[in-house]
Amino acid sequence: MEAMAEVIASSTAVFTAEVYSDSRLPALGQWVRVKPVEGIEAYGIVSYVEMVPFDESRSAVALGRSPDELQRELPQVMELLRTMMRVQMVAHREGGGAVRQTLPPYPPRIHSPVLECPTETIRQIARPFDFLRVLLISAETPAFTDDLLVAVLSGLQRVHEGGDSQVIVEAGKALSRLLRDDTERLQSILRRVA
Amino acid sequence: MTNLNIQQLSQQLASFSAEQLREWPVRRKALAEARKALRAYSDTWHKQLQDRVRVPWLMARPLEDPTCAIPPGARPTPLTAVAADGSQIYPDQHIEPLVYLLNISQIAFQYGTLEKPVMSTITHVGPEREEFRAPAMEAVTRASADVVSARRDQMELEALLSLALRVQQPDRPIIAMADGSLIRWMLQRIEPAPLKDELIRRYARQLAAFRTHRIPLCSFISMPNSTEVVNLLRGLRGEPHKVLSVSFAGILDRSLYDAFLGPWERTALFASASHVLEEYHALDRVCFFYMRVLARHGESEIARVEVPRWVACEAALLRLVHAAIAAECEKQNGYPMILAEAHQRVVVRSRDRRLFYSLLEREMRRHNLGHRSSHKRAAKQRPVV
Repeated sequence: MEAMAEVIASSTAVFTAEVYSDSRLPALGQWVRVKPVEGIEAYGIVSYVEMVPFDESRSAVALGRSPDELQRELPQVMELLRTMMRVQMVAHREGGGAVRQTLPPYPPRIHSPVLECPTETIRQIARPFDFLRVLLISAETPAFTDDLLVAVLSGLQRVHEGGDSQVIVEAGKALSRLLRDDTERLQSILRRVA
Repeated sequence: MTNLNIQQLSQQLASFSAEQLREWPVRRKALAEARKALRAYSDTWHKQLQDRVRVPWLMARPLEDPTCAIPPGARPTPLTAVAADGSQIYPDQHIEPLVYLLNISQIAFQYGTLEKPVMSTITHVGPEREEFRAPAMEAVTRASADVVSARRDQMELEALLSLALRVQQPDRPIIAMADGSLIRWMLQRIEPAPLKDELIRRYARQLAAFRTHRIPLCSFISMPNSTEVVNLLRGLRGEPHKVLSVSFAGILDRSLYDAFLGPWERTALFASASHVLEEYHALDRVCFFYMRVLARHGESEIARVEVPRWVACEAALLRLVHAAIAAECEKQNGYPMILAEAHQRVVVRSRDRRLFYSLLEREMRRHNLGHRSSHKRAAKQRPVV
């Protein structure tokens, strides 16, 4: 599997990565993996994606051109922009052991490759849904936590499609406990899971 | 907080603007007369060349009717456009050893295609002693600002040509663009003479290489202060020998042509008479035209475009230059887009300067070489209360 992005700022909880220009755009709530040190693999959820100019002193302006025209006549414009993603790490695995729903002991190194997470690994991370707690309480997670939860639960539903139909029910129960029975908020989240 | 004396400043600005206001009617009259003189000259220009006139100024020589206004054609597509720009950190006399930095950007766009652009920067530390022979070498070692600028200009052209040759595609037209004048008159004040000769020779050699490789080169000058066409009119009417009620002194060519050019139109071609051009190959001597470039909100300015003689003499190449510059300026608010990008890539900011000096210091200390920075520099960098 090829790297989709590269770590450019790092901590034991969150990292920021620049997405390679020829990679697919990362989706909110998507699972990714990174190796902080040899033998450890950390798993995280894309919590925020933004497209910004490389050079902070240059701002993008409306150009009134079609995407094709932009590429043919202003070829530098897209080269001056980059996609950045913030990833909330929620789990890791040491050696060939089981996935533990806790932060990795070390931060990923700057310039480490970030890879997509195989569906099989995402399935393994599901229960007992402790990672939902990290997403909820993490101060690093930007606003719209609920929308992030919707995206994560929708993703879970997709990877378990045709198999574990109970997974979304159990995740909903876990979330209900975390939200301390704030049913209105819970309903709002579950209603939007698709 | 400002260190300017605001009271004095506002008083002086008021008297400055009053002065400008007083001069304005005189300037306007001179400009109107100059335009009339240009119109009159348009009937006789091909017979009445300025060779007979002896004046202490540089006079342009028209190669076309000097009042003509020519619209640009359509820019060909696909087209390869390349540009380079340079910047520098001049040697700082408060730092030992004496060292300077040149930064050169290279930009290549393949317009009309989906091919990736080239955008890169070359960084070069000097002085490089081995490149020059004595006695030129000694002066290079002293690295005056003029010498550093001359090295930068030469490296810009080198980088531009090598990039052009690298990205050129068969059967696709190409144009190379530089910022600022191709007339390197400032080289003439470099001392000693052997170094001056060497630097002019190198620049001329670079220009010649564009011709031998058939890469049409042009340069763009925004808000040009040149007066070569006005000087021609002054010579023709007998200035400075004749006493005239209205002198054309102080009128700029761009003010003169402001009344003659519609959107994107260019003036006639002129040959420059700058003395330094005598050191260039006859086919590389600089010709120029003015053109009106449009910006947003209906604003426009008269810019100057310079080309070597061999480009000026080939109608198709001249049309390419005119059309390509119009298309570039249209995309970037009145300034060639590719040159703006070349500038963005090359500009040395204060943080780059700090980085350069701290890397230099580290390198010197690593090898136990002396590195000194004056107390004056330290005092400026770390002011205390």
